[in-house]
Amino acid sequence: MSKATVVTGVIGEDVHVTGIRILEHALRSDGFDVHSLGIHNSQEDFITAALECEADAIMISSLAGHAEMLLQGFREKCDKAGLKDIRLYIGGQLVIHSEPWEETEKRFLKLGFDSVAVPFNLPKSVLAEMNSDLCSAQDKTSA
Amino acid sequence: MEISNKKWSDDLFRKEREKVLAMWPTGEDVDLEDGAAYHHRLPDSQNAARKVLKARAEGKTLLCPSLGSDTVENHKNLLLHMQKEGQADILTSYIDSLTRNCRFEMASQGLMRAEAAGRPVLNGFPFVVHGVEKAREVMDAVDLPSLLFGPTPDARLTHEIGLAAGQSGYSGGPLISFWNYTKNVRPEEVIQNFQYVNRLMGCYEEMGVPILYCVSGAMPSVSPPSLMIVPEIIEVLIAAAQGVKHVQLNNWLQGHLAQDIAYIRVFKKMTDHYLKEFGFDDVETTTYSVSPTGRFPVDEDRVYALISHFTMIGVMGGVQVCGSRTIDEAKHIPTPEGSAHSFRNAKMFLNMLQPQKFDLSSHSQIAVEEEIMEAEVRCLMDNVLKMGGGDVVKGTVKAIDEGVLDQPYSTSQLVKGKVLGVKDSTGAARYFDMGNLPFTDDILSFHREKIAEREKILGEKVSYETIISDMTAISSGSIL
Repeated sequence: MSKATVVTGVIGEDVHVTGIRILEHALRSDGFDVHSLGIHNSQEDFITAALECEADAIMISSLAGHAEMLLQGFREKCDKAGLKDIRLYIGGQLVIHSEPWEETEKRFLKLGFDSVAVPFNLPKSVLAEMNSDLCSAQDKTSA
Repeated sequence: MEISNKKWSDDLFRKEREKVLAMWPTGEDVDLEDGAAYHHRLPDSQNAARKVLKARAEGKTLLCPSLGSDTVENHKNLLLHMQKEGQADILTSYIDSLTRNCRFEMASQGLMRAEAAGRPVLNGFPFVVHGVEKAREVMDAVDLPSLLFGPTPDARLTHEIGLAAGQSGYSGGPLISFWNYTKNVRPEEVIQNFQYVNRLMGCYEEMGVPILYCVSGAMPSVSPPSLMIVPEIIEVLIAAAQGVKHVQLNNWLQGHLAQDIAYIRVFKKMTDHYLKEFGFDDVETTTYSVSPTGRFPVDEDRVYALISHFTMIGVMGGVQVCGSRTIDEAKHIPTPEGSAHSFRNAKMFLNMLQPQKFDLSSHSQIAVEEEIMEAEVRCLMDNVLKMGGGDVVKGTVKAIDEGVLDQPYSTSQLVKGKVLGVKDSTGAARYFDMGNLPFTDDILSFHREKIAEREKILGEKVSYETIISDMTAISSGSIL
């Protein structure tokens, strides 16, 4: 029995895959069910996959700096598709320009993400966060 | 798609060729005999295969930078600059990424913008939109050989035009293109495209034009060298079946002296072994080394040290050709000046070391690495061949599906991606996770022991955090 189901992938025409691949390994070995989409995904790809595997969370990676542009209206589309409570995580190199981290984080929280990972965030802290977010949430549903 | 490692019939090649040449209007101007005649008009010193064979006979190492710009003028000037100021011995013509993805219309628009703006717009030379005549202007301007450069799942039309325009080789291959440049393309499809490219090279060989095919296998990411060597040997065997006669083995150095030198030696030995086993007795093998693809430091002083370090390993391993990264590439696309500085540095290092002919063949640390690496290569190759009933192409397709051939950070969703590497206490790459690789218990315990030595020093188990820190170690200033 897996802890929770997570859809992972890279958004847009971005081929950087190393970071999300390591996270996938870390998530799997910690007991998560990982549904990996790899590179080159659209918003719709993430939503379709999340519906198909009844995911608890979507984790998006982006290193090319175009994430904000590519993710406009994502939370609204999730809501419309019936993924109202799905947790949305994002991490990577999220903007092209340099700005204080708090500004970047704000941009993506505003887009409806539940959690925005600071660059070079390590798997241990991602796992800790996901365990506390998703596993307690599941306990609630089973209770 | 049923596919095997048999030589294509003339009929099949001719039929496919009609389709390939129709992919873009410039394909109409390609004529094989005219292409070969153009090569025969060029001096022998402008043929890459001849030049590396001469270097092998003389025990010398040549320098080969990676270069590419969009307009004929920009590309010509870049190559001339490296010929004159960068002390290069072999030049390269990097194919822009739009052309590599067969997006010729977009490449054509990019080229027009570059011509109008008078500054580079594309990240390489778009052979297909230039066509044969324009591309020959580059070869007419320089005195050195040039190679096509850059992995891509479909390099067929680029080869038709590039080879006819006097490029005398290519660096890339079906497996590196599959692992790193596709998402959902079956390996059969990429291999078939490369059988075409290799058959075309074979046609030039039959007309007396040696073509240097530099296989590339797989890019390393803290990867034990057997993860690169096996795909490269497979690429060699696929090429040899189609009539390729000159192959260059690409050694992806990672900075560990004993492991990297063992890599160069084992790779050559095992390639020659399998070529012989399949009866390809007239295929010449030469070797090439290049520094790793991961992040490099931003600080130029440190990069100079790294360029020297990787040049040293190449020379000590006895390669015929050394490539190198450049001092400025952590900051932007390398400038001609940045490339020239980098290669002058490499050349000085090479000139100091090479005449000494320092022989490391009996060094005990290298011998340990060679023994384990050879066992790994044999184990993987023999399993692949077994899975294909003796046919390396059939075996490769099955082995990828079952994770017997695997890569840690592939862009392809069709790759198992179970294997992972981590460094040991000396900085050599070891298997952290062997995934489905069919290794023996001896191999397994060798890697476990090496990792245990590092864990003892660290005082904790190696983890995903260790792997990440290993991948960024060099850019942070150390091998570990």
